[in-house]
Amino acid sequence: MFAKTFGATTAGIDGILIEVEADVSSGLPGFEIVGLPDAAVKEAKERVRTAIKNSGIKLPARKITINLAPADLKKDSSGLDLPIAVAILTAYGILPATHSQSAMFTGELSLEGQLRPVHGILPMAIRCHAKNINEFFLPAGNEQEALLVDDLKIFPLTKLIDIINHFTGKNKLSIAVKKDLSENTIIYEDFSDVQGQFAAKRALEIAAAGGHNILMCGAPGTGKTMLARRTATILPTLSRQEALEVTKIYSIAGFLKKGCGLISQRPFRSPHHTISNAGMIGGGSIPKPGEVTLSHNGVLFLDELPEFGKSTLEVLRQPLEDRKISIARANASYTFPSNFILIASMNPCPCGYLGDNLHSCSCTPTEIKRYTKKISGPLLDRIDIHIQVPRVNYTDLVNEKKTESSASIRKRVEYARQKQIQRLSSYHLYCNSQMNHALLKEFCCLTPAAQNMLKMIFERMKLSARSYDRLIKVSQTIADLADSKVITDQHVAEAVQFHSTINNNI
Amino acid sequence: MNNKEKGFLGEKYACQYLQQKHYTILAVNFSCRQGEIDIIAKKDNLIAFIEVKTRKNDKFGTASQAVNYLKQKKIIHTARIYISQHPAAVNYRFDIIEIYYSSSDNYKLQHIKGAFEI
Repeated sequence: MFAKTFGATTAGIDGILIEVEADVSSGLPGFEIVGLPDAAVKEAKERVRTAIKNSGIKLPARKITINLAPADLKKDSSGLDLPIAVAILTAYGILPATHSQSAMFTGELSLEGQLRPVHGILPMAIRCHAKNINEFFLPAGNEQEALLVDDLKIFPLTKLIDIINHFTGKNKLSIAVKKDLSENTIIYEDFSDVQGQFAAKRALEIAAAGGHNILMCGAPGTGKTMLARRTATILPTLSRQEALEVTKIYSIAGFLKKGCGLISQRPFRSPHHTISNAGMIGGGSIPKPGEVTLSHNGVLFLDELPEFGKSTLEVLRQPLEDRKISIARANASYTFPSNFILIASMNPCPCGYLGDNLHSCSCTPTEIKRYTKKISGPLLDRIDIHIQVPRVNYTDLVNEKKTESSASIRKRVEYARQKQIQRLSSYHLYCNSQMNHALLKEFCCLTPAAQNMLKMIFERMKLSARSYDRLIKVSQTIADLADSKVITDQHVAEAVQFHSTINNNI
Repeated sequence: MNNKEKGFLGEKYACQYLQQKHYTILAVNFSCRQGEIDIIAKKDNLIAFIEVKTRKNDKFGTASQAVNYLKQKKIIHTARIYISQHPAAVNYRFDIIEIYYSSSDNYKLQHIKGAFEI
């Protein structure tokens, strides 16, 4: 007999509906799965057979053929175990065929007949809803993730036998209900812990407000890492749409905690400098998201920037420019979002003390050149704000007075972002760093004094056209933070301090 | 008793056992170029291709373990030949009967239904 049901897998960051067809016929007994299954799906054969047997169901030996449609797409999800089992049971006549058009199944089976949670539930649930399938059967532990999609009946299962009892009417399953998972996250890191470093804090505030990338340069132990770690705490809170995007990515990467719903915190990723290219932008024969995608809508922090492999830094160019990364493989091309703020930190030279007023630098000019040369011009060009982080002086360090907290900085950042969203929403942009030259001309009004100052800076510092645009973008963010409609000479003067000093790149 | 005699004895016991269980023996030692099937038996709507393995003990592995991949392929091939010669709308199954023999009144028989598939 023939039976059909629905399962799902993921490709890129989207779920894909898979039609699972099963045919049971007489003939020499055997079990065949066709439709480009990869190793994990091929092995489903043994799991499904044993799980059905251990659920107390005796299947007579028959020729079983499973087809996974669309047949030209490679399937790699162990979540196809359950739909395969359901299709077989339906084909054998153990389950009624009524459910096959109205339900989707996902879950990995254990030999015992238990269900194990799988990755990528949220994108599957979104797809399920988009295809007008309103019942979704999934392993217990995954239900909160699926419940983020409204109007979907979610049935969490612990055992394969549950589904048989449900459809034969013996023991109906209950629909999962949304739990309030609004995390009471205790933030251990706060900007009030950072003593001194007012200029650096101000720069990070501007970076957070305008979505600018930032490079911090300073001697060892001055607090670069400490500052960067706290930047995620001053970014505006995630909107629901953004939170869904982040949750989707983490769901596919398998980083979502069990029983966890929506991710409400902006991601902060700080990969080690030994990271490979594929680890950075994503990869694999079926591409998985890399660090740039995992820091989508959040912060990517690269500590000790020159220590990263040269090619690893160069692959950052496309995601920084386009805010998405396309990974092409033989079977398909996948696009992952990668809209992040890059925070990089580095020492000015290999020994770390160049420009320090207490230590003398022991590096030769050639060594310094070689060190800073590791960061290419095009990459530096995409970093709007460059700052020096000087050593903290004694009076600031022992100062008992708490400095401004992250929460109050975030308020200003959110206000400035709001202004930017109002201005740029018609272009589907939301922060100043995303503006191109044409938009700069349209939106950025400069006072005559500011115009004069820009002209002087442009000539004195021999700025390039791109650096000029960058200067205006940062000035605009500073103006937004100051709640000013126009960019004044004060704003430009502050922005010009953030120009690059590395490699004389201006 | 040599191995060949032991084998025949085992097949005899297996046939007796199958008849007790209301199987009809369709063929014994069906052979062709591709190989041989010890017993082909029918019950209701099912034809079973049965490989009989007789051993004295399981010191060198169980009897059913001796039906390895190559032997299975041989049996499957032979079964295909049998089906093409005797077409019928029935289901098929590959069984193994293992017999541990010590004397004519002291032997143990085990019937493994659906022991392998294509």
